[in-house]
This record gives sequence, C-alpha cells and structure tokens, in this order.
Amino acid sequence: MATLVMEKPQTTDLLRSGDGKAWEDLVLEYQRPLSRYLYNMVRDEELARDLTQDTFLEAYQTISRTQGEIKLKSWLYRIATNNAIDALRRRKLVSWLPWTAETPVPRAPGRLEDDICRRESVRDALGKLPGKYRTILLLHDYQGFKCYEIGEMLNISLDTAKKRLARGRGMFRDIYQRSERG
Amino acid sequence: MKCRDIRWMLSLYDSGELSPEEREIAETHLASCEKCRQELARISGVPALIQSLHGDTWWADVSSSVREQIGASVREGAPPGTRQARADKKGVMTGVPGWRPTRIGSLAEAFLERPVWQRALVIVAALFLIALTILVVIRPWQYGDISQMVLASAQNNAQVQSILGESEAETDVLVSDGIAGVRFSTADMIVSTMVNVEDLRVMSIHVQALTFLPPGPSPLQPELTEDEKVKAIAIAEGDPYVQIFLSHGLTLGEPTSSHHVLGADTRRVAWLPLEEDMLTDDYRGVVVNLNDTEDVTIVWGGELPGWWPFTQ
Repeated sequence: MATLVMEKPQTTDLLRSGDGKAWEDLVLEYQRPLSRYLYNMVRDEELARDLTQDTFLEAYQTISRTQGEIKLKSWLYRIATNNAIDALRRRKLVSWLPWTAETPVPRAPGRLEDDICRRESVRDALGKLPGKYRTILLLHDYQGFKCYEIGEMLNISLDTAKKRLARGRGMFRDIYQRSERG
Repeated sequence: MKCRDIRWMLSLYDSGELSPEEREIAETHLASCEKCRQELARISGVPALIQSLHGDTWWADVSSSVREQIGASVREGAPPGTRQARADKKGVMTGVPGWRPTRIGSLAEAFLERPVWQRALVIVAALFLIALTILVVIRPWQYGDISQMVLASAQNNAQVQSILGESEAETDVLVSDGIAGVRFSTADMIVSTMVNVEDLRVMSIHVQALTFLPPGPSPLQPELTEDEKVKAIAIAEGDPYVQIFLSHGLTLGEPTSSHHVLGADTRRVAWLPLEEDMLTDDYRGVVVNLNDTEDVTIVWGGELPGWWPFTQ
C-alpha cells in the first residue's frame, strides 16, 4: 500500500546534500517496485530496466529543485510515469503494429502455470488499454496509491482521477473477460 | 440520479475513497437499481486481478549502475543537481574522469567578446540556416496538397482551417466540420491528427488513420434528435475502440441497451461516455469496439452504412 506518511525531513535533506548512503538506501528500497511498475507499463524488460535507472538519475539531478518536505515515493513514481509515457510515445513513432485479434494465452495445467497465465492475461488486457487508464490502474490497484495522491502526481483533479479509474476498470474488465472467453 | 452519473462511484465503493455524501448517494441508488448492482459486482474483481501482478518475480537491479554514477559524483563532492553532478541520458557524469565538458559556455564567452559586426554576421548566418531548414525539411508549400486531399473526402460544408504541421510521422489538420478522412501514407508510421470540429472544440487524437465521412447527411442522423450531428470519428492508436463524437446529448441508450444487429457485421458498438474531462451535459460520446465477435450491439441498425470506413 502507498505510504501516506511524509518522508522524514532529514532524509530529503540528506538526499539533497548528495549523501551516498541515503541515495543507496533509496535505490535499494524502491528499485524493485519501481522496475515492476515500469515493466507493467511498457512490457519490455530492457526498457523497464533503463527507465528505472533513468528515474533514479533524474531524481538525483532534480532533487535540488524541490523545496521543503516531499513525498519521495509519489515523487519517484511521477518521474517514472512521465518517463514511461515518453518512452511509449517514442516507441509509437518508430514502430506500429496494427490491432490484431486477441492472442490466446497458452493454457497449462497446474496452479503455478495458472497463476502465470492469469498474470499474462492481466498484462495483455492492461496493454490494450490507452496509456492513461493503464497508468491509473497500475498506480491505484497495483501500487496502492489513493486517488488524491494520483491526482497530485499526474497533475489532474481528484474528480478526474476517480472517473478515470472507474472507466479504466470498466474497460479493463471488458477486455479481460473477452480474453478469458477467447 | 441517473446510472451514468453514479457509475464512477462504484469503482471506489469498496476502497473507502468516497466522501460520506458520495457514499450515501451510491448506496441509495444501488438499493433501487439492479443494473448498477450487477455493474458493481462486475468491476469489484478488477483490483484483485491487477494485484495478481505482485506474483511476478522479475525486477531490475540497477543499484550498481546507479551507485556507480551517483557515487562518482559524490566522491567529487558535487551535490545533486549541480552542473558537475548532472548526468546525461547515457549515464555519463559530468565532473568525473572521462567526462567531456560541454563547450557551450566557452563558445558563448568567445562570441560576446567579438566585435559587433562579427556577431551580427553570425546571427544573419544562423537565421539563413533556419530559413533554409524550413524550406527544405518542412516544405510548407506541400500543405496545399493535403488540404485538397482532406477536402475531397470531407463533408460538403467542411473546410480545412489549417494544418498545423507536417513531419514524417505526424500531420495535424484542423477541419471546420464533419469527419473523416484521409489515410496518410507515411512509411507505415502512425499519423497524429488533430480535428477541430464545428464548435471549435479541439480534439487531439493520435490515430492510425482518420477517415472523413463522405458528402451527405450523417448516417447516424435518423437516430439522433434534431440538433445532433456526428462530429468526429477517430481510431486511437493502440486502442481497441473507435470513438465517434456527437455534437449534442446522446440519447440512444445505456451501454447495455439498444442492441440491434447490423447486417452481417459482428462487431460491437457500445455506447460509453466521452472522455470524462470533455464530458458535459451537451456532449456524449460513443465507443465502438471493432473486435468483439460475440455480443452485437450496433445501435443504428439496417445495412452496414456506406460511410463505414472499416471494411470487413
């Protein structure tokens, strides 16, 4: 679940001062959830790895421009989300595949295989959502951010965040159900 | 309270994010609306499905590469965000061994030390290069051709207002009315098109192909109220829906009603609201799903309309 507690001021100050240990701790704490979030956004391990690294480097470059206490988690996810959207936009411009029929997920017996298949179906359905709905579903239902936090993060109103989440869930459900039937 | 006005509340019903007033409105409505209770049951499983992604084992360990790059800066004593600490996209740190400093600063100093006539000469040369770039790369005279191409397939009263720009991958066209189109061939790249409909509400749509309706009344017109007109249709890249935008309130029914079979076409047309940030009392949208082959929910009935641009 999202951490709602404001980061300790001294942590932010240490990061701003370039404290190596503070930065190392930050990377160790967030690289796993951030890279998984980015992977689910872009569905490409290499790209997700690069974006994770870029996120930390951009955080390092820009933290001096922040003021006062900041919510490090929200701030990092904002950077990561913007980077992912930029990357997807760039990828769209250089390669485009026409929309094709559902690709059936191979079914394999066994609970573990079922779990893997279900996750792939979920990822497939997420991948077919427009980016803004994929973003809000991953931030809210996967990373546990609340709508008001997402609103701040994406610079949209609370109402828009709530309605976008609702519509995203409806669209996801439609697409997922069709893939299950297929 | 209409169903569509509370649908968004259903998604937040179990997450504790509704205000007390919103929750009361939702509860009151749910108590009397079977359809919304079904919708609540339908979407309530979505968070658990998304959370199943936590079972993934993959993650990227970037600690050593980030440590290497940030650590080099720390060893140099440069705080974050300073010029010495800045990293480029390839991860090359400034202020560390192996980094080649930018020469922009020293060039600027040298420029300012030059006599006035030399500075003026440099500025004129720069302006000349910019003009040359516009003429050779952007080629603005080609816009006229695109205007003709758009007009040829647009509605009678449509006029191309302006074309914002053209590049290998994008073409932005403003059209005064109607919809439809043109299939730009740009080496299989997507085409980004901006349509300005009659009411001057600009919609920024990334499309793989924008298709203008042929001349004549809108094929949806018989189904619409007197003032309604189809305004735009767009295929969003990577989106399984075609969106049709109407000028006034859509009164054809809720997404699960108004089902009519459209000839042999087995594709679904489902009514959904317009983007929430564009939604007003006067503007509703339609989302057409091209790919569904089971539930046929096409609303206007009859034969496949001649304007339908997506042949089977």
